[in-house]
Amino acid sequence: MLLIKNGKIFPVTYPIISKGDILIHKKKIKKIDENIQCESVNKYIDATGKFIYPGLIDCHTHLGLDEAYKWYDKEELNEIGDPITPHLRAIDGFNPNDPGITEAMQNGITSVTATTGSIQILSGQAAAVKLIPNGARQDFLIKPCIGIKGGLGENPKKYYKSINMMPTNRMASAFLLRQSLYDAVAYINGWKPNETSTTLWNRLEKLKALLPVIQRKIPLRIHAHRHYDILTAIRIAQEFKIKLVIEHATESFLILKEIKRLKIPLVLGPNGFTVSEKNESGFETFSHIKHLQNKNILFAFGSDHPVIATAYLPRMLSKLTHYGINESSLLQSLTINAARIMGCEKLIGSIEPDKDADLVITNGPIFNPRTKVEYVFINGEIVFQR
Amino acid sequence: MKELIIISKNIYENNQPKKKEGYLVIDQEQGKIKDIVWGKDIPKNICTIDFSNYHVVTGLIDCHTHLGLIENGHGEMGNDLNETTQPILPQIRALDGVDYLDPYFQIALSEGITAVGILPGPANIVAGQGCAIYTGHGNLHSRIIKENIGIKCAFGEIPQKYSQKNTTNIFPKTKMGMISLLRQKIDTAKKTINSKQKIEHIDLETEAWQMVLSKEIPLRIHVYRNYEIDSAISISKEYNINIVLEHAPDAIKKTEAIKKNKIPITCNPYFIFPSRREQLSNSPYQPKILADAGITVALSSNHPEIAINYLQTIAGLSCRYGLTEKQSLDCVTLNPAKILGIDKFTGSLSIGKNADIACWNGSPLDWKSKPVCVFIKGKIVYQEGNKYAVN
Repeated sequence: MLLIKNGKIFPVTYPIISKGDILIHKKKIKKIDENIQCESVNKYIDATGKFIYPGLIDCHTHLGLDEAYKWYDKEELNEIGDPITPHLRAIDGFNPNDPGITEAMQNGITSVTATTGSIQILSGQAAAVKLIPNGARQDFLIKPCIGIKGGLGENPKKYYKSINMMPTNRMASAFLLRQSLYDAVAYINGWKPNETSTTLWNRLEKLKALLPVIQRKIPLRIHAHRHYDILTAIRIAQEFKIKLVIEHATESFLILKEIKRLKIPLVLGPNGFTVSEKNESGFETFSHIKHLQNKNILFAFGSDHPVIATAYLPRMLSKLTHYGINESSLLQSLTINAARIMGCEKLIGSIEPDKDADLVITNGPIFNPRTKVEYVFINGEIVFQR
Repeated sequence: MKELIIISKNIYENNQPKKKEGYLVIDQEQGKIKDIVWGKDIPKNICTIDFSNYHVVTGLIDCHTHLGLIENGHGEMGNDLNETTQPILPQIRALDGVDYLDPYFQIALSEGITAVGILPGPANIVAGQGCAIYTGHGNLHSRIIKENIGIKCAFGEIPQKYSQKNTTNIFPKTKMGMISLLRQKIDTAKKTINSKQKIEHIDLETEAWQMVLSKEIPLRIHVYRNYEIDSAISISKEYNINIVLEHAPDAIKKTEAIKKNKIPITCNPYFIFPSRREQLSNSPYQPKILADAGITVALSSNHPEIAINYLQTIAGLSCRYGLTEKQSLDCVTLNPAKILGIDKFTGSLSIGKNADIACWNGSPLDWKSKPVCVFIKGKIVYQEGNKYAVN
């Protein structure tokens, strides 16, 4: 057992405890209280004057897949020969030795969504992982499939135009997405594709991968920047009554009414953190950010690592307070809301009893760029100590 | 119930000014025209707008545009007109590529155009499904009038040009080959529909053909030449399907056959530069000749060929070449509504239809006239000098 004493605790889902203790047993948080007395504690950490946050979550990264220091341009995100590959698993390409993981963890990020790319219409299964550097898969994997990643808009259009393969425009992208969902619906009802044995395995795998989407167990996570790409994704999700998460959502501010009405979760960023040469991400996102917190929309942020390094996500968000969003909703978006979007809110995202003991102890407010991270706990173990 | 009254001396019932004082009663909750009353005794306690000296006309409709598919000023990434990877694609939908915030929607509104038919481009033999949407009134989903108004086909030089550029052999290179491929696809779809499996599997391509074969929607065939019109008519007879001819300058030589088969025609604006050989037969008298033969004719801008704001100019010009004012107005209101299959909802000022109204400061066909106020479903969506204030 491990006891953290006298810290300022930000449980996120409960009010702030200005001086309190956290008891950790094995991998889980056991108790949070103002003064915990326990005899069987074998390690104490004095957090007097320190701030304790739940481990931060980056909701959209390519960490581990798009590694740092790759020596030649190898494609790790998109299996581009086929626009529809929902059966590919991001976790199969995830390298826990990626130096980006260590860096991110040392800055307080403990969990991320590691996703496939956005060139394909459906590119694969996004995974929820913890950032344990050089860890074993059974330790760092939270869930292997938290959503099927897809892309609409410019990315598929641009790439497939260059190789003259369908889809070269938005109409065809939407068709491919629709048809694969119709196929999956038919497959649930007992339909079997009529194909030769060489392609049949692939085809069946694709259909099986889409079943949890049709059954509303996991969402489609669609990369969409422009307002009408977002509406296309929404329209298709409505047709099949499936769950949807919009990634990037640059122009979502033009259609907030519709997004609020249908309660579509958004994963914002990295537009606004950085300049993009792409046509579709030209909209200035963050000057509208305050409308989100007033409308009670579920939103989180993604660094889209390596576009912005995951490690710098809290620094990037610190600037958003200038645009009228308050710190507590920023902290929520970086913790519990991200966990909700990933479907892992029972395990991570807040400091509560029986949740995983992923904690960050800092010497000041997390959004202050000068703040130093003192300790990082993942699964109840100290993975970083300054 | 929220109601609105519009008073005017020039209400265009049936696209003709009555020259008599009267008023329209609009039910703003339903967005419909509730009543048209002639006389001066206006009921009190209802919100009233006085357009006495203005011309109150139904909103104009352009049934052949590519509005929002080619976005203004967005380069190649904003161009979703043609999917040239396969020659026959009845399953793709124009609605999925429409940028409804393209500035030309607002410009169309300011010219009194309230509804548009948006079709995919002409590079494929079968290019996809068109849609009919309002030019204003909220976001894309609240603007939809009809999601599927027909499947766009193209014969002639444009698909031929694209298929000859394409090096793969899935594209037919000749006009004979194109017609044969089209027939092959329809026949295959027919066969699939007849041999329906027990388990429902929705194949969007077959679904699309089924809608055409059951006469739910027409094939909207882009044709220019004489013999292409013959091919189109023969296909419509062979499969017993509805067709609409788009552009069809040579139709003036075939009025009897077209009349007999009740085929509507959408005319291209004649004042485009003939960039292809097939366009040489464009004639300014085309609408007049077709209308006089009793054919349903619509005028269109074919935006972005001519920008959509010139629809009024196109209608005005056709009067110069022989159409009467009523005929000309029909060609940009009721007839396009019929072609789009939305004439139950809009296309004229009549009781029970949606209140899509433009109030012009003169005759709507006069080049100096301009709309001062435009309503869609009874809601003000444009006011002169107040470009973005309402919507």
